[in-house]
Amino acid sequence: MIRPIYTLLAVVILTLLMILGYVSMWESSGEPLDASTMQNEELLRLTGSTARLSGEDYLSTTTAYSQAIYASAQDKDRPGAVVLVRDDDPAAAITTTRLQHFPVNAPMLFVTGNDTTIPTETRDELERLKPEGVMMDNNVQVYIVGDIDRSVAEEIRNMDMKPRTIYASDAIELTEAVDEYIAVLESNHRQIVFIASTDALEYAYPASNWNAHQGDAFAYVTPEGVPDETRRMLEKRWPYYPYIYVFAPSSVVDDETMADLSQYGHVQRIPGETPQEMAVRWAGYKDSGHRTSWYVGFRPRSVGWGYAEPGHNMLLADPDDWRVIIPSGVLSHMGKHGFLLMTESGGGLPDTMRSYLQVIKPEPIYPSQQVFNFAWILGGEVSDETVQELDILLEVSAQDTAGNDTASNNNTETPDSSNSNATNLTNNSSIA
Amino acid sequence: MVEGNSHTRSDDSESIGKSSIFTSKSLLITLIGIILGGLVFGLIGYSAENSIIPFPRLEPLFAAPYITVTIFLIIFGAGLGGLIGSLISAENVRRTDGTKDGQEQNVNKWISWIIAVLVVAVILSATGYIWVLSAAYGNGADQDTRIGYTLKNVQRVPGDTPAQVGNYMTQMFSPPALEMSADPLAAAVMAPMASERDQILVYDAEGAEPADTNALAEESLSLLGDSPFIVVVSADEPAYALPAAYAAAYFRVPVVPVEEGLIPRSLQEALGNGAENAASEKLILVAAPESLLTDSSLEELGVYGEVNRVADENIYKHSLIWARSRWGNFGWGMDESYHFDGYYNFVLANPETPEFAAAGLPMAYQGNYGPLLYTEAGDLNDYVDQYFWRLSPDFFDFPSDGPFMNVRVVGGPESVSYNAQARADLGLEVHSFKDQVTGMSGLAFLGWSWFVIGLFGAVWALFIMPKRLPYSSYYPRLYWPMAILVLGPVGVLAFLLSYHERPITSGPMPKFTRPPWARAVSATIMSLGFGMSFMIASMYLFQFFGLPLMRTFEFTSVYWLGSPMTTIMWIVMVIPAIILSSLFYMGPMMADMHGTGYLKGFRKALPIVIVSMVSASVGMFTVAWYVMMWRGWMTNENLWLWVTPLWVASAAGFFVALIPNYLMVRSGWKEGEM
Repeated sequence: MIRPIYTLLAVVILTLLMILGYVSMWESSGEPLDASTMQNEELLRLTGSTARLSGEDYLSTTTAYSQAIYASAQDKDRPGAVVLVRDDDPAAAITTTRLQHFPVNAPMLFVTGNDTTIPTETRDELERLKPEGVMMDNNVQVYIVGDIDRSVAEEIRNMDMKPRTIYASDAIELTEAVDEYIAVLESNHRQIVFIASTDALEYAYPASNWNAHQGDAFAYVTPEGVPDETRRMLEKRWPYYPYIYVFAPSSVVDDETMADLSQYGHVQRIPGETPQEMAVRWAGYKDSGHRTSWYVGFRPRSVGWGYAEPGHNMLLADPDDWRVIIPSGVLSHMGKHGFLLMTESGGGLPDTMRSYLQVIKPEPIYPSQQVFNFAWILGGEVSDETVQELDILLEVSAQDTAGNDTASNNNTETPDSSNSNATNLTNNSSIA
Repeated sequence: MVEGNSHTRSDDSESIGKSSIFTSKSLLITLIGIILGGLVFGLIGYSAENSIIPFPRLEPLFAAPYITVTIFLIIFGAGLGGLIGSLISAENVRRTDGTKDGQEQNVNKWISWIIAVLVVAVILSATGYIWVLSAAYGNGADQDTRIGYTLKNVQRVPGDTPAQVGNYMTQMFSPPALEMSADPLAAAVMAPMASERDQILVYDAEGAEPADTNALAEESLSLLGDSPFIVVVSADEPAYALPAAYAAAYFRVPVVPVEEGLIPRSLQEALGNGAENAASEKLILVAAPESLLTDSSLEELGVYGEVNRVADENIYKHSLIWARSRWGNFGWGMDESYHFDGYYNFVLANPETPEFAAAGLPMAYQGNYGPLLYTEAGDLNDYVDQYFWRLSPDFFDFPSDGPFMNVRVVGGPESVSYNAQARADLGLEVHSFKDQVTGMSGLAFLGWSWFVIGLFGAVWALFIMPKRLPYSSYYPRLYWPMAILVLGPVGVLAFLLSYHERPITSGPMPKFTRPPWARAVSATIMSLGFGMSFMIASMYLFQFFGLPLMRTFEFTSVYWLGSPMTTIMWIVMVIPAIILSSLFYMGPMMADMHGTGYLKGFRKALPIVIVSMVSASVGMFTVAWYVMMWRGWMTNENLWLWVTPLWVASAAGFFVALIPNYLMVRSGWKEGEM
């Protein structure tokens, strides 16, 4: 008979050894960051209710998003994986954002040089992130998605990371490949399917950010109609049927195509004549109702951000460079979980956005119950003047009497003028 | 009461008394241990929960609802106290039938012992690692490729000097600037006035004249004289004054610096001058601890109104008091226990460099405003960390619903390090209510409470069986502790039902006489004790190395065969458990029981193990799939919620396996008398 105390000791010692084993596998946390806080100050400018995230170019802007979300200072603020896409195929990148959602939990970075090169920015960020690995899929650390050269996977392996390739020769094929992969991951095909036109991708930007946040299915139609890949995807939702949301105005996806799609399931079109307007409508859009049901239970659907009250966050981008917009999905996926809004191309805030922001402008309550709005400014294209305007639209309406009823007469002259030697009153509001 | 079934007893068996786990004395001592342990740990938990003592590095526990940590520690302490009480009071019971307790070790027994130790160590290292990782933070990375300090929930105001921070305020906010010199105390006094006049205080502006604090205080008392509040701060330590100044700035309450023993005449006049009735209504809040302004020096102020000290010697707690408190319509009122779904913004600074905090004062009343909190440079202060985890927002429907919390750091990396900033960023992330991911949730705590009961129960069973149950044999002494470890309270209960006050009959193998249902319980544990703990251990290892996912069936209608959570996991977990269980537990045990050879024992054991394990796995997998995939309890093996779904699934497996085991006992396949 083995005495219990020996059994206990054996278990305790072995347990401690195993834990020590895991701990010894940690990599050292590196040198503490001691960069100046003024570094890249203009790329990361703050206002009261906004913060800009930008790099010198689209590659480092993408990195800035990833750095904001994943501090990578301890084990638990690292991503599960990183998603790599081509920097010259927006349709493929839009398709891929749904992969960033949990359980994968990944930022999106770019492969350059016509699908063959991992640029320095991406490589540095991969090394800083040290992705944890996706538990649900063999601890995969890097997803290489789309028509990307095999050498990239080889390079990832050389960096001591585990790649997973989801290959397709074009974006339409890729929608199905990604859908099948996620179906295996989740043992299910998502019933919510977003449709965009390969012809007018900027309408799909808001859907792409939503998908990084919720991971719903995504497919394309073309000017020629509904491609076979999309038809197969829509049929796969068996034994249920898909709920289809089309991100394009009727000038892009005509009623004939809508009728075609309606054979497969419930179809809705997101309103908005311009991409900017569609982004605003989508921020306020909420479609609730049936989804899956069985004899005694059901799961309802709840599609769209649907915000018409204060206390929400957004991303503001100029629509001109998709490479600044699509990777921003990670900012919808974690942290502020913002929806995407867009300025006029190279310009200011659209009027529809101004009126929407009036809807969600917070009223002053009391600080312990106050709600606030916040915005990330994406990239360097949005001007500081536009940000200033946005900041004022976002902030809590001016409090009239400081939350108490005593300071009733503001702006009174002080009876004692002795303050003039202590303070230097300057009116430089022009700085704003 | 054991008659009426097909069970037969050999003729040479005779009753040799009843088993008894407790005597009345040991039961009493055990109960005392439970109460004492629960009390001591409960007090520790309660003190930590109310920020009386810090819980360094275990702050993520406080993401759970208020009082949860206390309840958990009560359960932990009661378990530990009960274990100690029971073990010190349990007297050895010896065999009275002349047989020897110690059956000799053979190879089979060594192998089953080694496997048991390995499996249990894997389970304990898995659960222990979750605590170690939380306390030690784990892997970091070189940050030198960072573009800047902006994080999702915590940004940093550009500025390596207070002057740069001060100047940056004019970039952030549009109202006109009010320039001032480098004097944190004067900034504290001026901020409420600047707020009242809608100006941006610009700290350490070039060419600004030095401030006369007394004159400023006088001006403030007159400008903001209608406020029913006055904040008194110490003229000596601006670090204590600034958290109060942030609140005063937002609420436009005058801030008056006082030197020890010297109440300024302006203050006395302001208080005395006003109509007597008005003065008596003033609430004077003293934002300085006893070491800076003594009680006796404040006595004079008592004449003019109610004096209330709002301070703590610990500067970090001091900043928290000012963030939490509210008096009528003054004070942030951001109490972490009742936070009313507010969105809280904070300014984070180091109290050793209060100039930065002073320069950030406009953030108290402009933009997304909020109170000042303090931290050490290297790591986020324990109390503040706990406060953040307690505030850490939960969502019910969508993470974008809110609330959201945000922090703005002032000062360079030597003042507040990147790591301290990242820690705040982690604690304030939005998570689902049930799965706080990095933090502990109420649901996770339920799992952990269940687990610690099992853990202490397992240790208890390991020691109590040889002591009090001398007729128990080798294998039960291994599989009972394992079963209790994975079944928690259910396992403890099963143990008591199986062994408490059961008549014993002698024979080549002494037997415990039980009613059929208790024999079913005992028989179930016999065939599952090892198998279930093995399945949990292998689940952990699969999660650690990544679950197998197969893309072979993509684009077909059986795509789900490749999903790790359906078929593959069942095959890789259940089949090895059946084989190992039959080879090294049930097999040799059956051989011992019936005095047959090993192979015969194995052949007899295999079908029983298959029926038990398959039925248990049906219960386990159904429940695991339901809670993980459908209810969203799926989580990584190094996160807090990990234990809950697995231990819930184990209990379900046990109850499902009871059914065939009951039938097997009834039909005489199994005896359930070990």
